[in-house]
Amino acid sequence: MPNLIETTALTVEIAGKQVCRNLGFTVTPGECWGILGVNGVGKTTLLHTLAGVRAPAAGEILVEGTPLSVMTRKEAARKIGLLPQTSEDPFPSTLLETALIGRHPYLGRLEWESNKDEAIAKHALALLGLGAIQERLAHTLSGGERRLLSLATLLTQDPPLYLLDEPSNHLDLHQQIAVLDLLRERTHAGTAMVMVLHDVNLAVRYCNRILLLYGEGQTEQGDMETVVNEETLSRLYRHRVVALAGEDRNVFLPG
Amino acid sequence: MFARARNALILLSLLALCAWYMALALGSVPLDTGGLWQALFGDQSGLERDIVLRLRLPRGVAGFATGALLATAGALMQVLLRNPLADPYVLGISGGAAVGALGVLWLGWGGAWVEAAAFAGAMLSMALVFGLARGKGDWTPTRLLLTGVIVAAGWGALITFILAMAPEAGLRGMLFWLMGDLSASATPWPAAAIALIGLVAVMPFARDFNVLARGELTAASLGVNISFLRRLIYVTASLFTAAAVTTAGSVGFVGLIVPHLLRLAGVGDMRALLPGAAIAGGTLVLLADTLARTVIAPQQLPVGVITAFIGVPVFLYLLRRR
Repeated sequence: MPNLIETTALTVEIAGKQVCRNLGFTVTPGECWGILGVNGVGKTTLLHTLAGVRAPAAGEILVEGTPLSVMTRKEAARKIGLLPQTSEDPFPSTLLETALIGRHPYLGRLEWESNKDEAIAKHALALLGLGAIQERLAHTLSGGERRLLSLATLLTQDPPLYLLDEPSNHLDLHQQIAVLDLLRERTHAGTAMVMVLHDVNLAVRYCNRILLLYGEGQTEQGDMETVVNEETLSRLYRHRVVALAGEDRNVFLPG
Repeated sequence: MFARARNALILLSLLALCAWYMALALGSVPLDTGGLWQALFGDQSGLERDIVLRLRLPRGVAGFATGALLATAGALMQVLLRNPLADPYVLGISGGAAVGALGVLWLGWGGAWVEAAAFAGAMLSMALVFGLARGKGDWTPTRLLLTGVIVAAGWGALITFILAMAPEAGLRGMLFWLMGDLSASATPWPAAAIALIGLVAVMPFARDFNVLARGELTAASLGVNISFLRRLIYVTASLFTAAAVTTAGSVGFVGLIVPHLLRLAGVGDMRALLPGAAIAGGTLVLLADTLARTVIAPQQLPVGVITAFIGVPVFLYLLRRR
């Protein structure tokens, strides 16, 4: 299997501060990566760089072997999807219309969405429990429902690699698990995920690979079991973290 | 989605036909349907034929083109700034045009000079805002909006200065220009051509506009070339606005309310909203101008007065419904 995304000597900077230095980061189909780090360390900036909507300071990003920098935006959008942290709805638009913009990268200039595209969008809305209200206007939704709609748009786009910026944001406990279970099903089908999370225990439960951003360009990555422990997390969050034995895995709590 | 867009456009086109009928038939020499048909397509020359072909038709084209230009420019500006209150004038283009036109009127020149100066002023304002908004940093909607609003305020001060200094004899012409007036427009064809060519040029990007309306990050991640699209919208909307104010002065409210009226009617998709706004905006100005020259005939009102009379209550009503 080719690597979905591969970075060589990637250096990302924001406002003169290094997010990562000489990072070699590879995602293969079926993997679920979690990115952890303190507020402002540059998790979102790194995600945007991987999505190609922001240029790196140095290094190269290859998407299935092709440099991201030479791909058109549309080609990139068929390979990589991004769930942004927030969404905007300045103008009235139904849930179905909003989800359908996920088909944009697949349509020609003068093409309209086909019945098949509509079916894909309706299926995505139904998966997230929004099927019954698909004709409602997006700006009338609650924060959590709006988050589900953004996820439905990403599922409608359905690229091989999902980049998710805090996917569990605004969601209640039940919805967090439902959404992450849904994403895990997609990884079993070969889709890869890279997600920024604030909840270590959700990362431990759902991610099999972890990238830690320590700040000042320092990073650590690897299998979840080897990278995530009391020592690394205490260093990461600059606060003592203790592990307690849970049902079938450790639970990490602030000490 | 396609069917809904098509039906909305057909309905708007029927409304436009009714407005054209009124614009060509009504006036100091009213015509019935047969008379209008004779005047348009008959082979006898006569007063009716001259009135329709030489007066009402060009004026109608000027009005329709002005409305179409302003409404589409408004819809584009609202997407560019992601602000429902944006209109074609918010970035100061009409202010630049007004300073050009009023400056020339102040000098006592008329006719084509006014139009040339208005167009030059609009282009100057467009370049000024574009250059200043880019500055050192990024080109964010807020930065562009603030730059445009401040430049517009500067033009506003210059307009007041010219009005204060101008001889009294010229004031009436200046005020009519500022309110928007079609009676002085020399030729409608450049505006009509710009509306048609511009609309055909941007329509292939209409779905990109839909995506951009959801924010630049979402749009970029869905494959939209943001920097190109921003420039395309800015230049097209500016050219449209410049062509409209050059033809008819600052006709108010069309660019703000027409896109919102269509959105309220369920036409939010830019692929239907852009042509729909062109037809609806054209129809509104055509009707307003027909009223402007008939309600207190033989005296004529500036068309901008009528669009504002219609526009203010409609817009307040829409805001209350939100």
